[in-house]
Amino acid sequence: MLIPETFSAAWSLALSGEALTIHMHPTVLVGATVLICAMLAGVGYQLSKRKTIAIRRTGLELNSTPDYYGWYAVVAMFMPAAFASVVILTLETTNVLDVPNTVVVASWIVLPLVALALVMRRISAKLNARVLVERVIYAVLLGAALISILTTAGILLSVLFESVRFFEQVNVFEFLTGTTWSPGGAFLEGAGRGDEQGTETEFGAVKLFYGTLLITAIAMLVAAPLGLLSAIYMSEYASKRVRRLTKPILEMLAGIPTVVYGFFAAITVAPLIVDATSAFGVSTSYQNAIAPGIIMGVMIIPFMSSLCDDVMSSVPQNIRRASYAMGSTKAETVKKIVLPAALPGVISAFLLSVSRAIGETMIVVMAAGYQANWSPLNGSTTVTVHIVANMTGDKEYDNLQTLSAFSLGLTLLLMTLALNVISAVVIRKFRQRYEGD
Amino acid sequence: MSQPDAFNQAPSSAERDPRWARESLRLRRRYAKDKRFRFYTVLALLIAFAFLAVFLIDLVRRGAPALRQAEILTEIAYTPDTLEKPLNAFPEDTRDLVSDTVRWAVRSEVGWAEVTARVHFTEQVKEDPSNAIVDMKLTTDDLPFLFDGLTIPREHMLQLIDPSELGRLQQELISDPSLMGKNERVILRGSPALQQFLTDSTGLDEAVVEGAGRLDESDLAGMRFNAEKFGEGKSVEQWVLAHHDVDQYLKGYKYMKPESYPDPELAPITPEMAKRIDRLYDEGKIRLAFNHYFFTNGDSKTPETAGMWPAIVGSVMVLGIVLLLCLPIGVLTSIYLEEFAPDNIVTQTIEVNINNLAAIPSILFGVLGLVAFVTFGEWMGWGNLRTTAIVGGATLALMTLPVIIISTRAALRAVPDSIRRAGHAMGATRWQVVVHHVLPASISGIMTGSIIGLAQAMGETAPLIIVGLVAFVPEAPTGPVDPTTVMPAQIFSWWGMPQRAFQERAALAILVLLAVVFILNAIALVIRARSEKSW
Repeated sequence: MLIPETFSAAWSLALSGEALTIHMHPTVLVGATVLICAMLAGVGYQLSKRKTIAIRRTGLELNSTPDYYGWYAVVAMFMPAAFASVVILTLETTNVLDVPNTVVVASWIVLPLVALALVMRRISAKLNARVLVERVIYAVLLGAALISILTTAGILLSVLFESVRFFEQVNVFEFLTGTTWSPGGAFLEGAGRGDEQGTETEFGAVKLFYGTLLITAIAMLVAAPLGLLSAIYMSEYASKRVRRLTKPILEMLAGIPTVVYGFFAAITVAPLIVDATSAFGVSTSYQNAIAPGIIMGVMIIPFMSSLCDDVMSSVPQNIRRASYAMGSTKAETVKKIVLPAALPGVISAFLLSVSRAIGETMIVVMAAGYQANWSPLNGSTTVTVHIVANMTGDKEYDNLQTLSAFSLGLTLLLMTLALNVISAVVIRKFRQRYEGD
Repeated sequence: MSQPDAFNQAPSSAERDPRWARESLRLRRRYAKDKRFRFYTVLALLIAFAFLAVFLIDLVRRGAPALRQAEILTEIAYTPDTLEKPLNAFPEDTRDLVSDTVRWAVRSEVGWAEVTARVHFTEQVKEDPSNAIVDMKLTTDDLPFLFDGLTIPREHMLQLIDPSELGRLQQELISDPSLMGKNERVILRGSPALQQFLTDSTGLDEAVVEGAGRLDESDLAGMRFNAEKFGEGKSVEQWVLAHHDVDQYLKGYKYMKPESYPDPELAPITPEMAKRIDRLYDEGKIRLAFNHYFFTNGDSKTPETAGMWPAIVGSVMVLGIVLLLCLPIGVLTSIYLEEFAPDNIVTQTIEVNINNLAAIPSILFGVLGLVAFVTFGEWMGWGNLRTTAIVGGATLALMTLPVIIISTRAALRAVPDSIRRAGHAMGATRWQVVVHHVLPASISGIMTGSIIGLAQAMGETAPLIIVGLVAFVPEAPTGPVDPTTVMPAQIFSWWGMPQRAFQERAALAILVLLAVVFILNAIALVIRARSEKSW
């Protein structure tokens, strides 16, 4: 009689998520649930382990050690709850059902308890708990490893998806070869003010690429010789004691955050350069390309140095000794024997450093500007600066200006991936195989 | 040939044999080249170190001044006049030298705003006290020149009333039920917005301004002097924060000196002010005290009260989340790849993938974080997760994951195979060998790798800028879904502020950040050195 009414009332109550939602700070709620689950897990583990030990005392031979039965119980308790959460997640993201958080919390408490009761009955000497538990462990491990694939896929998809939307409206060729970059007009056009002065919206990225390459070139001019030479010192000349002192200092240089480098470049180095050039009567912008270039080079020195050091240390001692036996000096050995042997590694290190320089953001955001010019003495900009500029602030994904940031991101991704791949190929193909390798 | 004696040496080989002479010259040139080459390599290393030294010295030079802050010993006169003009609380010779924040503090200290509102006690008031406030009708009794009368809607009135008053009204009704049904005008304490409006005509929305103005005209709203505290008027002498221009002048920065302006009278510190400041300094009425605000306050629009405490808390929280996410997944992935993975195409893909991830520019992780986590949060109806610690932590976790995986794998590989084989020989399964033998043996390597990864994550700014953690965050976060900022982001936003006094604070924040990063790296080094195990 009352059953259909109560049932429909309960059902509509459940569907109107609001009535059953626990109003608690989310962190507290999650923390409390986790704590309760941990306690339940402990209880389940102990119960089944004790039962198993009791079985063993009766003389039966177990298939696995007792703690495996404990873990079996824990796994069995929480698998249904995890599965239920996945189902709830899909329901919510596809907006089929809005599940109140009471249900979620309850599922993590009630389901494990129910599962525990069922599992306890299944525990017997014949149950091969170890195999079952280890299968689950293997699945968990594989799942963890696949997260990295998910991440790459995520980056690729998020950048690709929006870039495709960008290139639907902007010609790819114009993007790659045009020399004017002024996306600002897009914002005004979106607001219906496209007829105003100076709203020529153009997405020619050549100047941005040029800026990136210019600053990268300056950086590598600093980093390549200093990095390689210091690596040679560390691997050929330095004693153990010197190495123990200098390695940490180089690692210190590597650990400095890029925002700190950017601050230094903008506040100290750029004015220095402006003053230095004005002594020669040349006027330089405060946002020139030289300051970020030099600082970026210094940032890359430890990277290049440690890579080259590893490469050169792995050249076997016997060819060095053969060279000494012929009467060469150390310098000649290094220049004519060791370096050519290590060349693929050094080239690969160089390419990886270039890749790092291209992707660097903070130093250029703080020390370079938004204007792209041809001369390194005038204002300069890079691809990464514009990604940041167009992605911060209120993002409306339909806005062409914001979408342009994604297309720049795609270009950046492709450039760095290409450099990494070439670097790996260089190592693999040209690595010299030594005796006993 | 000459005979050997005290002045002539024996004839050298060079003189005896011309071929040897040429060889010896070549040899000397080669040795010289060798020496020069070695010199160049040492020079390269020294240049790198010299840069580090110059860099650190410059930062310390720029940041150390921020440890101190100028303060002025001045009289503050809390009188009824101060209500209208808080500036008048200060004597003339310090009035233009104190920080803007002190003026606002005086204003809120000397009294409060009051407003007359119409209150109607009904049943609904017990549930939600704002129901007590109803529309306020102004008639010609209130304002003789008001021709048509004016009704101020209750939504506007609610903006003018201090929220604590609503709770008080609710309590009154509950404790005295005879109030039920009463509908009358009551004087209530005004909101901070009303207080600001009454002082400098700002702080209220356009729509509310008219009503508030009328209330002010009709004396139904106004400031009231805190006579309980100050009696007829009291004058206290205390140290207050100086204006940041005074602070910069006192610290000797060239740009603040009046001489560096084309027209010194238009400088922020005019020559007259400069003389006054110097005089007060000599009298001991101005001093440079320890800047404790830097370590206790949050971000602020005025440099003198800006601090980095929320940034520190935010950094710790974000790094905690990074650790929580990265360590389990990273270690599990490494265990899989090192101990369990079969040599097939899936494994190779995963390995190539991880190596590529380690080399992707950090800004692209920010793009992923923005698209994935922020829009995901919106879908799920969790609100805008843009500036929160959890999104920042998740983004950085993805970025640090490859680093941790690579270093953990190296640590696992360093454990010799003989240990594993011994375990298998005793009948253990692969998993048992890993958990009971390989992991404990490699734990120091794993810790070293994670600490270094954390230190890198601590300094990352670019992805967090995209995900929105560079916002104005004046309060420390209390949970992972509160607006957060991190130390490098705070440095970045201070660097971009117009007032130059922020630059020295940015430099000091950099020193704090560097200290933390160096300490973390040092801990990692110590762990690595301590655990040089010999197998």
